[in-house]
Amino acid sequence: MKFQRPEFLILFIVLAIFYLYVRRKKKISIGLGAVKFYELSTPKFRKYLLAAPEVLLYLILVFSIISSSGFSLSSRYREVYLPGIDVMIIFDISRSMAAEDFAPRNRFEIARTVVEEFIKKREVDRIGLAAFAGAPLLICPLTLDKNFLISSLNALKIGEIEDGTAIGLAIAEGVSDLQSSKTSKVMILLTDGMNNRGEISPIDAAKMAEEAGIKIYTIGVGKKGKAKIPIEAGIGMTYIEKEVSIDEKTLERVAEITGGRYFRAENPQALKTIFKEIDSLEKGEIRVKTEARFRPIYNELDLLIAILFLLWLFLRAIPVEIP
Amino acid sequence: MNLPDYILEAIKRIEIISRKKVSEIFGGEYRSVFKGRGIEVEEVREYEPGDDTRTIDWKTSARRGSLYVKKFREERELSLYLVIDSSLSLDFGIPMRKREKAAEAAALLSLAALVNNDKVGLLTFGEKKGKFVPPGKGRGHFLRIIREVLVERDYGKETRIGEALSWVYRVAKKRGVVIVISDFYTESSFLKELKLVSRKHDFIGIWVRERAEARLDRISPFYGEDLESGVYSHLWPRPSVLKELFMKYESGIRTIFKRAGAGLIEIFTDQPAYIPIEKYFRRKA
Repeated sequence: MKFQRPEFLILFIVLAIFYLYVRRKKKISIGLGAVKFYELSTPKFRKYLLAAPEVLLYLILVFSIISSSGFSLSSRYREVYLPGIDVMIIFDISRSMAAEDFAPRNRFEIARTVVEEFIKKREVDRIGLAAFAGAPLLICPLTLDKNFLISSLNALKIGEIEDGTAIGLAIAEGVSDLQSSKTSKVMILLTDGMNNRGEISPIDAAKMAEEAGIKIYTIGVGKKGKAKIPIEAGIGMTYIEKEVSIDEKTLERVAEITGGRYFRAENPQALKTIFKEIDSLEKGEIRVKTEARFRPIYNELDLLIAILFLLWLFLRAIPVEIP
Repeated sequence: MNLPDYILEAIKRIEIISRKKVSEIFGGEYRSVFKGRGIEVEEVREYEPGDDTRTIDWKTSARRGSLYVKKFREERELSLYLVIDSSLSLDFGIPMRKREKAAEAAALLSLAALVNNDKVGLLTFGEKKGKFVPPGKGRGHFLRIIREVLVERDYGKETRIGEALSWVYRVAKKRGVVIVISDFYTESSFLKELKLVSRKHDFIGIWVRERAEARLDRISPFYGEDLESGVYSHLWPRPSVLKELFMKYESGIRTIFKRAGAGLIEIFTDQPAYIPIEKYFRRKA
């Protein structure tokens, strides 16, 4: 409640002066000795009806003064917004990712499509992309530019980096990329192998991540059993059969340390589901901000005044006997 | 005491009308309605031929040596006490205020009393006892009484008939005539006092009524002021309810007088006061 022009409220003093001193207290009336009988035979409702016009006039005056002094009501505005989180996607591009157990395409292609969908969904989040094999490689730092991110993702190729699986280093890379961000930090690690390179073990890297407040979701990609992996052999391609050896224990442990989860994707459908689940798990925290605003209510008051005036007109139409 | 012109005029008018009426007819009837307590010996004189032999005063005759007769006379010199309502509700009336009509009745009765050699006293009242004028005689006394009735005085916001009556009962030691003139707009019952007074005195109530005030067809709303309490209020009565209330009130007043065995004369502001009064006295005489 607020008055935009409180100085106009001085008019109330004028009104009070009129009411207390100027108003004629003796009104034109018929003097009677038997008023009691008339009083007793006058229903209450009729009394109110007869007394109403004067009351209405005063009400009209009061509301007019209130209206002209810019009476404002506060209306509370609730502002809700979801700040984005920061997500670092760590992509395994070791040669084994070309395994064709996710027919008709290989693991890598499938994973890429799923990640692309995921990126498109997370509109308000900053997302970064890193690839790794024998060593990690930052492809795209945290960014809101989804187009650039997707084009960098599509530009990824297997074998860009020397072969191997340096999970520990990859996590460390992700940690260093996420460290400076201020909101929730999430890392998604996609791999199909076992840590076999790098100076940092995945567990140690996970501890670093935990310290930095980063949550890691680990995803093991690949069917159980054997998978065909194509290899260049001079001219043309040849396939080798290889046991899928995902170090599930370590990945689970990594997730556990950082408060994330480990998923196993044995087929393309499962991978999609996993990303959907991560998407639903990682919602930005809801921040509610309220703000008081003042809005003058001239319109409402004017309507009220008009209604009172009309009512007054009608009540004045009651023919009152004048002596 | 400077009186406003309208009061002086009213006094003059009331006196003239009343004198005329009293000398014409009313005086005698008054005398016969309010009789004295008996007979008294007025004088003793020498017997003259033709005198009733029964009236011979033998004791005096024996003492004086010749015949003497007693001369009798009705014992009169009654006191008429006018108890007159001076409450503010009497300030209403068309074409004449109830107060003036009350004064008219008072003048008529006072003159009738004075013509018959009775004394007239006055007590005005409202919420409390007002002016008391002890019984007296003469034209000056008469004018004073009329003036007192006509002059408005603030005797409070109510009408307490009972108190005035019991006061008169205490003051008037000798048996006399008590006449209450009022509109009987009162909250409190006065039956007990009325019985008390009417047992000792000849008692008559004169009810000053106003036809316009009890106009039962007044259905349009108006703004009314209670003359006694001074309260303003919006009034818009339901005719049926109003009629019922007035009828209840009127029959209430009549019942009180009937139960006390007292006479009640109803006079109206739009009618000369002497008409109902004369009618009453003629019936009683």
